[in-house]
Amino acid sequence: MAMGDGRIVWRSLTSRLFPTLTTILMVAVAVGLLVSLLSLRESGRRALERGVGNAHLLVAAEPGPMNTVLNHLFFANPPRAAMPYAEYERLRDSHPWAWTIAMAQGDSFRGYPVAAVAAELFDVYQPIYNPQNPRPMAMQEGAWLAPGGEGDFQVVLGAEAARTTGVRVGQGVYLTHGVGARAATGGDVTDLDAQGNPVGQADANTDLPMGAVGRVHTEYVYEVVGVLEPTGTAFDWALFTNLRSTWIKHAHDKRAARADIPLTTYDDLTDADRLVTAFMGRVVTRPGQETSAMLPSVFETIRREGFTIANPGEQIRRLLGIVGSVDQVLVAMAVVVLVASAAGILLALVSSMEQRRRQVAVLRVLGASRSRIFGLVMTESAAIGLVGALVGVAGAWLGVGLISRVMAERTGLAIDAGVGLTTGALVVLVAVLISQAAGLIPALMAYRTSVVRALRPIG
Amino acid sequence: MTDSASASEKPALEIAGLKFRYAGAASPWIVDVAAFTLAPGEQALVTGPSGAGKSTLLHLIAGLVEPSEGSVRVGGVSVFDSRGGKRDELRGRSIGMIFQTHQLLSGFTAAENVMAGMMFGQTPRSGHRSRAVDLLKRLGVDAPDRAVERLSVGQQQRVAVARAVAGEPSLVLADEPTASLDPESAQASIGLIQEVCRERGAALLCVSHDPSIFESFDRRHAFAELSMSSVGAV
Repeated sequence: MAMGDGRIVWRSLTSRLFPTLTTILMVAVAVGLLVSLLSLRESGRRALERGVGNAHLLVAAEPGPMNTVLNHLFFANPPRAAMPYAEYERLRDSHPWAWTIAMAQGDSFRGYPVAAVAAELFDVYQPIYNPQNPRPMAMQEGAWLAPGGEGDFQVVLGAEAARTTGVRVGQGVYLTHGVGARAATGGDVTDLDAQGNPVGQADANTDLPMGAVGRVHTEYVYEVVGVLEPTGTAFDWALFTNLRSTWIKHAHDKRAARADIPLTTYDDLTDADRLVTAFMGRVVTRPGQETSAMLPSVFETIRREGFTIANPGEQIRRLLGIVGSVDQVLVAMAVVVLVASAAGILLALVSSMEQRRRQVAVLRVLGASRSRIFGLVMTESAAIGLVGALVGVAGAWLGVGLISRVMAERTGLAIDAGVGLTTGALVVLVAVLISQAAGLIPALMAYRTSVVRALRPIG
Repeated sequence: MTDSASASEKPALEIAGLKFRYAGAASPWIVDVAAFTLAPGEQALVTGPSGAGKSTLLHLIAGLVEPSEGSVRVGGVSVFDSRGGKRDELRGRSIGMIFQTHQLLSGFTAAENVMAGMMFGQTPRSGHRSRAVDLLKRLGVDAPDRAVERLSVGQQQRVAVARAVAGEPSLVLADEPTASLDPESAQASIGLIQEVCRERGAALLCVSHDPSIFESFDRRHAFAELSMSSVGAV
């Protein structure tokens, strides 16, 4: 292969490998940081907005409307307070709802939240709501929860929960009380026989007292009846059972803690056992309208009764407002790091120019023009910027994927893994331009190198 | 007669009234050459003590320094009629240079150094690599892909010679090529340079203060006498 400018640039960079790599690393870190922040900010915003769903209101016993939204729609934490189911029924019957869905949360399976819901959830609730393009939840495999008592001890898995746990339709699972550090990670899945009874003995941790956080409910096995299609929301990471079976097993926890008694059934339940942590609802609207004139009065009436009531969309907008000012600071910091990395390029090239005056002079003697020498140094700085930026974007792509996965598992916030093409291309372009700006001074130094002076024999 | 034949008959180097001193200085001329001619393929030595201005003369011929007065033509083309990139192009095409300290591109291989000598000339790019390797082999450098820092001093000088002639220049300028060598090595070294220039048909102008190589040249001039009369033959 003939000698060309590319080879000269390559040799110049590789002959000073350590400073070159260090400078590339600086650019990569800055670009990676910037791209990660921009991508996470944007995809986080989209994920939050997307997960709001089509409920107008969310009513809970726990304090704080934002808590209520984050805990019930994004499964951020197990709710800390419950209300009697009878209260839910009263509120349901006393307002003009199009639909309501009662929920009870707190259990988990391998750290993934379990939401006990009315089976109608899948008929009426749309986690991603677009009136022009309705997207009701769909089943990837298996069946929905059966209505009424037939749905007892059935469980439907969100797409990601099924994928990551490897649990299949037809298997039996034991749920864990609460989401504790000792949430089961093994021995909590079993095959079922034709009658739905577990084959073999579950060996999940049972050494904790009944009702303790982290104790596996080994008394009741749930049959996996279906796996949902992915929705791109926190629902993908959750499991869904009906309310009745949740009440039964928690009532059994309370009863068994007092005496050695047979398995609790639905008939053993009292009103005190029938609790929900929240309910969501959509107020009746006129056809083609998204909101209702009755919404403020429903909101105000329920709030005055002492319940926490939240408009999910409004709470998410508030959250984004809070987070937005913080991430602007982070983005500004990343830009500062990018400029600092440009200063690094400048320093690296300027210090190398001191050693390379002789090389520049030799190239001039061989016939290279001043402008070509200028171009070679500019190409070097652009190459450092480009390679650093591409490494940074690749790192960000991996990092954002990892972060979004961790966030999805820990908070249920389903962020799109990946760096937007436009964002990535724009940041790479900016990084190269900044690198070029940083290369101007060393390129001018090279341009103005005195050949005669640089070629004087040393000593 | 073809154009190329007529071009080859033009002197490799013509100097007329060339004078140089640093701008604004009322000092005597550092370079003062009334007239000097070097025929194609001819070899000449200019001798003189260190600091006399011999290297400056070569820099003037290569167009690296602007003269105060006079003209230089290489292969019939005036060096100072062109400026900037055009003059660099002329240098890359017509002049090869050999230095006392070789001035190889560090971090580059032997072959890359030789190819650099062709990079700014007019030889077709597709043949650069094979030409460089052949030339190095001819000069006894069998490791063309070895970094020049890892070659012996003798091998480095061969690479420098190969680079100077790789672009088929009409004129090779050698600046104190044997200054740091013992007399025996100096003889061998200058012999190699002369032989390669002869093979390639390039004229050679060598400046040196090393008496051990004086006898290697039939045509010799003291630097000081260049200002007195016209020297050279076509």
